Amino acid sequence: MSNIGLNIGLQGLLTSQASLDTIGHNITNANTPGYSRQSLEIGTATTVRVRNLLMGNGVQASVVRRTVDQLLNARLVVQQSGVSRLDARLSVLGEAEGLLGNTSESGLGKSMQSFFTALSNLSATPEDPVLRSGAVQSASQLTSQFNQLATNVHVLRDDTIERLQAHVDAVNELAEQISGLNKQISATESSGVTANDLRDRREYMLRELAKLVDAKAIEDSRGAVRVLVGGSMLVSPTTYNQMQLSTNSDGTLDVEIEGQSGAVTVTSGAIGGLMQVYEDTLPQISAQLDSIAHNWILELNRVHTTGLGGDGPFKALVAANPFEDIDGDGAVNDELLANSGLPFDVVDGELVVNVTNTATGALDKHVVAIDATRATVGDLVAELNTIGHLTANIDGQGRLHVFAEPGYGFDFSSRLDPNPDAIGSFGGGQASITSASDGPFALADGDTLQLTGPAGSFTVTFDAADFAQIGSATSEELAAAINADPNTQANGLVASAVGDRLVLQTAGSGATESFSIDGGTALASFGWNPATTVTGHDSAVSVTIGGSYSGSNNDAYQFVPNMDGVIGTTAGLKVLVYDQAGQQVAALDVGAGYNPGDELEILNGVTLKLGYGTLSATNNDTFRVDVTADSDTSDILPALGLNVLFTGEDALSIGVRADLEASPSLLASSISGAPGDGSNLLALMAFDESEISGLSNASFAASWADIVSSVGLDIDSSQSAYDAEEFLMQSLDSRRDQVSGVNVDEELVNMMTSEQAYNAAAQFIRVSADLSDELMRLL
Amino acid sequence: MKELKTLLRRLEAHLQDEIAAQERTLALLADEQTALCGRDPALVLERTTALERELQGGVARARRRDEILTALGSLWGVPAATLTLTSIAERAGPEGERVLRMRGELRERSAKSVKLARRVGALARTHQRFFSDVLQALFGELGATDARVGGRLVDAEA
Repeated sequence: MSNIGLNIGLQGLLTSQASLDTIGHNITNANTPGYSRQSLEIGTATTVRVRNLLMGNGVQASVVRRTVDQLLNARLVVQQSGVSRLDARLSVLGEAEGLLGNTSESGLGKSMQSFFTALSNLSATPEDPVLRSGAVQSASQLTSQFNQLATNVHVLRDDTIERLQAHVDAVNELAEQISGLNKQISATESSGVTANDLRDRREYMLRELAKLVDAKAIEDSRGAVRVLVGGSMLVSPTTYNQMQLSTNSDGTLDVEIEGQSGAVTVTSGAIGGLMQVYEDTLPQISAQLDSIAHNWILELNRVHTTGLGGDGPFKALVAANPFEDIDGDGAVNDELLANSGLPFDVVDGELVVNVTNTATGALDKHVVAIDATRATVGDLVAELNTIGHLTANIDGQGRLHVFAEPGYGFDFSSRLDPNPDAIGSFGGGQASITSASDGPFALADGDTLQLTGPAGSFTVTFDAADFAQIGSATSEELAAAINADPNTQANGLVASAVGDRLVLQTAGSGATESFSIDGGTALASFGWNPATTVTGHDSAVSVTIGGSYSGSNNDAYQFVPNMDGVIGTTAGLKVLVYDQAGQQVAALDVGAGYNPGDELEILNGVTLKLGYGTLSATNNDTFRVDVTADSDTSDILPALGLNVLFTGEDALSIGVRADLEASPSLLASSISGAPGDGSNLLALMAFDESEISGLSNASFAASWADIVSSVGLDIDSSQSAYDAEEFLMQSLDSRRDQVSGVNVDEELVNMMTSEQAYNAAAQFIRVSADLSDELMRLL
Repeated sequence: MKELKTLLRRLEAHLQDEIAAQERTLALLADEQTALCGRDPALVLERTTALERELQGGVARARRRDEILTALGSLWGVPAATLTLTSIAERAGPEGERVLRMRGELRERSAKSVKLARRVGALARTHQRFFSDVLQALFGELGATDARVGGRLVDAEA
């Protein structure tokens, strides 16, 4: 009995010692990350048989248990993954917002505004060299800002790759540690003991792993866990696989796990968050920025290319953008314009080319039809070469060069021809008659025109070989055919085309000049009567067109008198104006009461001044003015980069044309080329608020604001989501602390209570012993 | 003579109570031992309270025993403190045989009780000192008002 009693006491002491050890372990690890509170489970010691009696043997510590809620821990891992994804996303978005650097004092929006302000200042005095330099400098600052922003976004993407790589390295380290813990736990628990601290350590590692990827852990019967990432095995019970990050040729990223086929889809954790930002958010910012830059270059160049600089028409221009040999046959001439490697689309349309005689100021307008899907680069060059006094070719780098002959200049502006009646078919000094209607004219092979000039009568016979289709003879073909007859020149006559009308007139001017139309089978086609005599005038009517066309479509105005009469004298004399569709658009009183030389408003900003002279409705006096809203409806000029302000095609490549930056006088400030004309600057300034179709009908400033605000909104929504997820995370953490955490105060109170209880017990037992001693003395 | 018989009967009854009390004390000490080894302060307190109640009964029994012994001493003209159960049985002759038999029984119970009380007491004191030492390490002298003599947290990694 005595031995059993001693054993019971010893067991009790050892149990108490183990209990205190557990309390001490708890207190020591109170701040250890991932530590779960442990408690000692006490059970009855095995009984012993003494002389056929089963004697109790006190207590013994049976097992030290972790206080954990596995379901809560699993939820924590998932929650941790989501919080880390948002945290990583917020981190990069915050940097992106900082890089965009948009404030009221700086940023792209401010640079755009500064550019438009510089243009506005220049528009008042377009010749001012200082203001010109300021405008060009402002354009340079703007393009630098675009370049910087694009570079910043690229750098941020590169930084994101580096962060991802660091996280992948961390995943591999954790996988290795978890794999090691798997082995230790399996070995420890094979002897029937629970590896509490190792399990805590592994759960902590799993939570750290969840911060990086959406990892799922499944425990097997031996206590080892399998860790799956996106369905692929990262850690098996016996080993682990390396995670790798690879960049594809298209710039996208793949996360792969060694030994697994195909890429792993990581949707959560810091890696998931960074992947999302890298593959969606940042490319979207980049694409939006490129779109603004692309449209900025296109839209402003559309205006600039059709304007004129301070030096007037050009002597030579070189395209900034080269054609490319798309089919790889070594030549660019055979490439279709719509697919010739230019950075902007070329569409079907027309290009107006103005050739100016620099000595006389005479303007010759040519319209080049652009059939983008059928015409080749060679066709374009050939078409340009048909324009008098111009030469075009392609250099070895595929760039188009256009040169004007000495004494001539060229441009692509929509300016009006101030002297549209150079040949004098509208009350000019020459004896002149015009076809009654527009061509084409229905002639037949062998049709004739019988005329009598100063040198005698002669007949012009029309040969079908001189016409593309003689049944639809154009005014140009007819004029060429008549002028080709040697009798025409011998009799001092000359034929011309005024638009689609045929004009026949004397070479000389004055009332003494005359010729007569005698007959011929072609007369009816021209609306002329036989035996008609046409006489010249001593006073030729001067015709001056002014203003600038503000219509939205390209058009042509045809001017005809309503009767025969003298300008400023004949009552009821009017000039009727018809548009290209044949609709009368104006009727100008030029008879009695009109002061010759006064300016008359026609339509859409176009004005007319008529000098003194006689107009003849009988002889079909007429002249025509081409009015151009858009002199390049094909976009061939901005695509080629001819007379552009901005070069490049996106935010990274945008720049100011180098020769223009060096010579600000090349800034195309005017449309007419006249001194003081800043109309092209006004057209450029209109983009301050214009809706741009390529930007979903938003202005440039609004599109830029949209980028900034979308990043801001993204941050706000991510922050809100993060706050909510983090709150939930803290709540779960708090619950875990309640379940598994160590409360040092509680542990100490437990100890004090124990100490007091043992103290009381010791005292009463001493009293008991004293009483018994006293009794023993009696015995 | 009649008075002696009466006193002896009262003594026998007292001894019977004492033997039963020693049995209860033994059981309570055994329970206390179990509670102490079980590291359950609440159970220890509960068992200690039960032991306390039992000990209160022991004081009353000792007072009654002193009264009987004083009366027997007066009867025989000897100081009560010199009387033992053996000498009472001898002086009482055949009337004291029951007292002598009950004395043996009580001795056996009391010896067990003393042994167990000493062991359990030692166990309680050991536990108490253990907790006391840990608490003193953490808080210093309990009841000390000067913070400088209290426990101090130190940076173990420094």
